Amino acid sequence: MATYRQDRVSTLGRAGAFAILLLYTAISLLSLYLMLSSSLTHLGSSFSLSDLDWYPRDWAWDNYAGFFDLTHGSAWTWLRNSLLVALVPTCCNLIFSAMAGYALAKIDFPGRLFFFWLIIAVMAIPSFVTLIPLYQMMFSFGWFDTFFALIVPRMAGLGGVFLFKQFMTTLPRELMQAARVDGASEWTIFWRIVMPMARPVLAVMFLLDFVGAWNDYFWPYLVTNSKDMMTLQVGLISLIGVDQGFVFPMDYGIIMAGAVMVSLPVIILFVVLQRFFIQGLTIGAVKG
Amino acid sequence: MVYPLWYLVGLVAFWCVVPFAVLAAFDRKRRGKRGLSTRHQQWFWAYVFLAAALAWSTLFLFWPLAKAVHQSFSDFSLTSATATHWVGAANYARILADPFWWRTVLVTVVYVAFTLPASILISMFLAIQILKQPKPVQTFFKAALYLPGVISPVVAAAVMKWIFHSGDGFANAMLQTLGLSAQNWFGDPALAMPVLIVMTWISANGVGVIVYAAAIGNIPSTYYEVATIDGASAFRTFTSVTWPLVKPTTVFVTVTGLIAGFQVFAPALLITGGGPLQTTYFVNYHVYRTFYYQNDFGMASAMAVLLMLLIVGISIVNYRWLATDVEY
Repeated sequence: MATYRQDRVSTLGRAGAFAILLLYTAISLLSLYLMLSSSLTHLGSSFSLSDLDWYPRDWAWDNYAGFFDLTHGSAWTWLRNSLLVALVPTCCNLIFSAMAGYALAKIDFPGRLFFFWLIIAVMAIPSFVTLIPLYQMMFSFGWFDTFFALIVPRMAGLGGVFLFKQFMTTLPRELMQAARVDGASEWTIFWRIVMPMARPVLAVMFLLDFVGAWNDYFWPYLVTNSKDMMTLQVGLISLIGVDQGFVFPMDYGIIMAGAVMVSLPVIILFVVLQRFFIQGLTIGAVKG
Repeated sequence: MVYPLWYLVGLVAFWCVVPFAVLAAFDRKRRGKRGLSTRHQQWFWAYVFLAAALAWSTLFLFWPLAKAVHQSFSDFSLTSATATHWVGAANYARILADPFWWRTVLVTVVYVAFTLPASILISMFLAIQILKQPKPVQTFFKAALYLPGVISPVVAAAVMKWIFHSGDGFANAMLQTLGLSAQNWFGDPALAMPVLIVMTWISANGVGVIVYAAAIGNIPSTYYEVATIDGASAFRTFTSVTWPLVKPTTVFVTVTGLIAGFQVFAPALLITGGGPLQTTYFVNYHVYRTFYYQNDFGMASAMAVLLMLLIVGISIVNYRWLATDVEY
């Protein structure tokens, strides 16, 4: 099928569009560039205008050393916590969501339509409604300030099921019927036939889920209070402060170095695997 | 610490067995057959596959949701010396009569009104520009525009605090280079909200651009050829061809954008603290302050439930209003 308009655009129109895109992208990424360049500049806790440069003037790598040598907690511990808290729930959730998506897409059973509408409906529930009871629950479970609170609640759920359901609906039913005729159990069909075919959507979900878990700051901020339980996001919060309007308590250079360290894993992951991200976003959002 | 895990084990077992057993028993009675037929075996496996997802959402979503609604009718508070009472709809009456609640709603609505429609238009515009490019260039811009989307709200807040510092931040340095006077940015009631809004215009359109590029790219070119033959202007082509044909995508982007927009929270917590003069005091921030600092769980739950009703209501209206199936 011929698509939109690539071949019908004049060279001039294409160049103009290119210029617009380049300008917008530059503005859009400017703050990230400033983060990077100022993380490599000695800024102190305030700086004068003459200090402001478009490039790192004095290559201050010691900002990074400073971030890993804070007095109120170890950034290495935060990094370990962040990795643990992002990886473990993401992997579990991936498998459980794939199972649920497979059931909704490919097995006929009473209640199927109900559960399908349920996963759509829960998307409209704001997280703050359940947040207060969950916060109380962490105390009554004795999970406050432990890894249980950070990991267990997000090991499974309905949030990721929709994407799997959408993808698995497109798999040919005959494949599963054939396996069934050959005497394969439902679990074998799922694990040996469906999962290998679902590799692209597994990659998408892993990336979306991992980035979401890595970037989550509010739940870890609420349910931890000791410096050894913080994640990198919470550690960065402890540098910039909360609820206090406009103060910046310490060295900008070190904070920006911290911000780079927090962003680096997801940026690398994104750059390496961006085609999966882009694929994943269009499953379920576009008709056809 | 370990015992609550048994709740999860129990719930998984429940979802594996109970719904299936009930359904199968009904089916057997209706059809008058005995034994576990292949059909029932399939049902059993379906619930086994769903069990973990349902068990977790029972404990960490449905139960807290029910508890929040229940609690919103009580005066439960961590700091109050008196026992918890059932207060009926008193919390709701108090909230709805409170001018400050309506102020936070207004602040949130203003934020959504200035970010969402603009982001839809910007996304569509950029998507159309992207589709004019050769394939590798398309991929580059899609990735580059999505990049700010993987940055955490905390990092974004740290960088914005730095750029818009009231004294020597980058924004003020730029203004002074241009010969303008420095601004107080997040310290200025007239500027804090506009700055937050403009920052979403320039850095929060990655998802929209990618989704619209896919949708517009799927429109068959014959529609555009017909429009060209009829002598339609570029603007007319957009309003009569592109806009109606990407309507399902617009519904999707609008509904997800509304759901996310009404829950805006990070800028208030991390940058402004709701200020200055409470000009960025979003609904969610009000909920958070009420339960985290005032420990008034009943009131906070009632506010959160009201926000949920608002979001669900708006989502339904949107589906009704915008959703028309498009065939091409």
